[in-house]
Amino acid sequence: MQFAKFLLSRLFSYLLVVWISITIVFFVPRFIPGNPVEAMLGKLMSQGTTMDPVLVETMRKTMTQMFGLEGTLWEQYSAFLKRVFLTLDFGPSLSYYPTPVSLLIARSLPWSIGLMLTALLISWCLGNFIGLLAGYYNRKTSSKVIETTAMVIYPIPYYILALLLNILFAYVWPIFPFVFQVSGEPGSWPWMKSVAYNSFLPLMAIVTVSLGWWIISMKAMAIDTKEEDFVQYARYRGVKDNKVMFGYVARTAVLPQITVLGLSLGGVFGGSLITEILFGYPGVGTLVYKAILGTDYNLIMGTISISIVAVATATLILDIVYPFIDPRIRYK
Amino acid sequence: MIRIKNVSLFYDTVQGTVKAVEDVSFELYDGEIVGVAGESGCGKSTLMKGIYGNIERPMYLAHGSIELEVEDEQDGRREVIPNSEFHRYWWKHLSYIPQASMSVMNPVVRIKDQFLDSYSLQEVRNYGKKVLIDAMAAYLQELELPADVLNAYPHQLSGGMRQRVIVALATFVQPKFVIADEPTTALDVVVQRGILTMLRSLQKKAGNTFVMVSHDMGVHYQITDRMVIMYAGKVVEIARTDVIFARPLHPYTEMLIRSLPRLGDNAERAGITGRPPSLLNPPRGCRFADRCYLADARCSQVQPELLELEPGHFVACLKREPGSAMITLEEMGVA
Amino acid sequence: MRLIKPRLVIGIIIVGIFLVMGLIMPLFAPEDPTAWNTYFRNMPPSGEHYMGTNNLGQDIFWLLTWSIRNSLWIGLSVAGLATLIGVIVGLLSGFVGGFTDRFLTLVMDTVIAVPSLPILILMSSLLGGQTSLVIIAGVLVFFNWPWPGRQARAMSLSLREREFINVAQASGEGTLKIVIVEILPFVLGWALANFINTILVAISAESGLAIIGLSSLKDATLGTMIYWAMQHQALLLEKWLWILSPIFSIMLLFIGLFLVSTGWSDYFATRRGRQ
Repeated sequence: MQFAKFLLSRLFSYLLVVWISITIVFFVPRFIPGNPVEAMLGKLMSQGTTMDPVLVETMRKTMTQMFGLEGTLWEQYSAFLKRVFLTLDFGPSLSYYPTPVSLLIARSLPWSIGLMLTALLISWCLGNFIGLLAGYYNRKTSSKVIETTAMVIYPIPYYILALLLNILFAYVWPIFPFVFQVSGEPGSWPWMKSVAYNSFLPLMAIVTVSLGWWIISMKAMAIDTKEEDFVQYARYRGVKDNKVMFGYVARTAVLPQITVLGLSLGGVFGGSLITEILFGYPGVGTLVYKAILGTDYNLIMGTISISIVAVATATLILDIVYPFIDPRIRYK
Repeated sequence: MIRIKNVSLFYDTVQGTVKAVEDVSFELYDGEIVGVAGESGCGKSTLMKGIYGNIERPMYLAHGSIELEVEDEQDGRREVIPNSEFHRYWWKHLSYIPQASMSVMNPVVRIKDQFLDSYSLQEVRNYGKKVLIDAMAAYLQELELPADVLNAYPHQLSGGMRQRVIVALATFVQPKFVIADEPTTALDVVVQRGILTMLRSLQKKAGNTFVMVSHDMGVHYQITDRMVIMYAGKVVEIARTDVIFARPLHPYTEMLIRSLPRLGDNAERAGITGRPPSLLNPPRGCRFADRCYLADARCSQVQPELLELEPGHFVACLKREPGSAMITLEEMGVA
Repeated sequence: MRLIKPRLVIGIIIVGIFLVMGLIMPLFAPEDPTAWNTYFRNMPPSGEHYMGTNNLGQDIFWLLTWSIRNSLWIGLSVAGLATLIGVIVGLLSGFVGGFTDRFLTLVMDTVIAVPSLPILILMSSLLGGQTSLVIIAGVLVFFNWPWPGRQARAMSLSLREREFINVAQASGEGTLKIVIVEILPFVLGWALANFINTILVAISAESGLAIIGLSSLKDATLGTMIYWAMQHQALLLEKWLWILSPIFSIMLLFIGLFLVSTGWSDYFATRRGRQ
């Protein structure tokens, strides 16, 4: 019953946040001066060709419909909500006409998820492990060195490190490619190697910066947990350091880190978005960028909306799963 | 035997050096139950940490030594182990029973796994997991505890049961020395009695040494053979328990005994006025001087030494030294 | 004095250097660094041009100082406004309680959960490089005021119960006076850490946008400096100073801000703890 209440309230905030975000997304273009249809038409007409006014009128109508700008504000709004939550159909993309936006997103999303998931997994596991050691042996100099290093790395924005890595390892020492180019048959071993090779730098950028945070927070948790009665007594009972560190300190200290993982998803996503763009990594980020460059209205709306919903959903899932992982809640 | 020689244990704090234990010397022999008594803050817990061999920053051994002397069962060879090596013998020659609390056991691990954790991986492999657990189960039954507590989580046991299990875990390895730091505090009187009885019968059977720390004189009366009375970081009296209660010589001990309720005696219990001195800047002379009914000017200036006034009875009091007139509270008409 | 850790000192020194670079140095710039062809192109670093010039004829060093200045302005103004709004709303919410509190908390929690970057990208992309820094700053304030808000509210709630408030109230002082005299210094101490963090967040957001060409491109900020450097082939032409100086400036500035923020939190907590 306790869980049902929690689930309900969590779902409520999820829906509220997503609804408000999507509403903001809906209203932003409508508060900005200029009409995307006219802008598009203007662009076409400035390319020199004089067009038959009837044709222009037809195009205007088609585009207005395509952009979802038909009808009253309320009609547009409800149609938009339907699109985001039910049909996921944002119409065709302009830059990749007539490919539907949803297909483009479906193709890029796995790349983004793959990058973020891998980065999060590596940095969370490695970071917590290092943090645990640094916290348990916090009197050693190496622990202080690690903490200082983490403190220097953590404040650096993902994209800055991405840029730096790109410059250093793709330009100065051309070890890695500076344009993302995967070769080989998708799914084959050479293809996988090519993907890994091309993805290495963007992955490194995200992993390194995230490491900083996990190391710092786990170290603090480990130090606190070390002071707990049962940890002290375990030492008294002759339990060896390794066992105390992993079986007693880590087990307790790591649980809040899972909650923090959920909170960090929003930040990691934003950072990886720009990182993808800088490396030309074929994820949602680059898709957004291409949409911006091509003033592809539908694609912009589609990618932004989906991104917001995806992050909120991931956080929700993590929040719901957590009580099942924490044995203190499980065994009540 | 554990030899404590001129031991001083200090703490490094922001405000200065806290002299928690100063120049303490006595011995713990094999096969006895020794009680360490005194009010909160007198240094008994610090001393126990030191005796157990758990001296860590900010605490440090300012001077003195603590040694453990063991006789090898097979060849009778005597080995002297310095305090810095004690941790190698935790849960072998030495074990520790903490104050009864929910938080001394890992909340997410079963009792039987926490029991096994005390053994190194090598040992577990050598003996066999099942063998160890069966032995523990048998031991628990010997102590009249249900064997299935092994499968439980700590929070599933009642306070008294949990403490009994902890006592069982601490004594299973038959250590030569068991330090029990306030083992019955925070438990109700009935449970307290049960645990004290358990401790005494364990000691009788194994013939090892128990060190009982408690501020509760009643606990000492029930099971200890010998007592060490501490005040403000120093030892003020050592004697057999029955002697301490019948003929306390140090004024502080007298006051402690006097504060105990006695059957049939309905007079109002007298507490002791005043408070112990600060351990940052302990006074030059006797630390009890400002609360002592016997004290004179000399007492505040000269540090009393712990002297053996009767066989096995040590007192640190200028007024009780040979040559000074022995006046008790009764004679003074205070009692 | 013993409580001030080296971390805080180093942070303050770093931030101090940037404040000088950003707020004082630009006053001495000989010409408008953003104008093109002011100097000979591609000159190496010299006594006249500390970091040389780029292939647009701009002096890199002075361009850097102006970029730092503008980035700092964005950071400081967003942080200042967001902290001001947040603290006021938070204190009010916690102190007044009841339905107002519940409503404001819901607002704060929701705004925090809305991801700001996608929306900033959306907005800037539709404005097509004409996004003024003021608009960006405004949106950033909107997304960032709940952080100090929540903190102020939490403190307000706990302080309501504390002894010295009760004593003050018993002695007949008005509610507003209590808030100002007793609570505010305590809250501001904690709010400072948030303030500094917000500077970091704001500059980071604007720079992130700028690097992908979505900020106010005619203004010189650390982010736009990087953008223009990339646009003008700084990498291929190996004009390292042009592109690396803003990158390292951001890194160093952020490290400095972070050190000050955590250093101050530690110091303030220990000081408070001893009282």
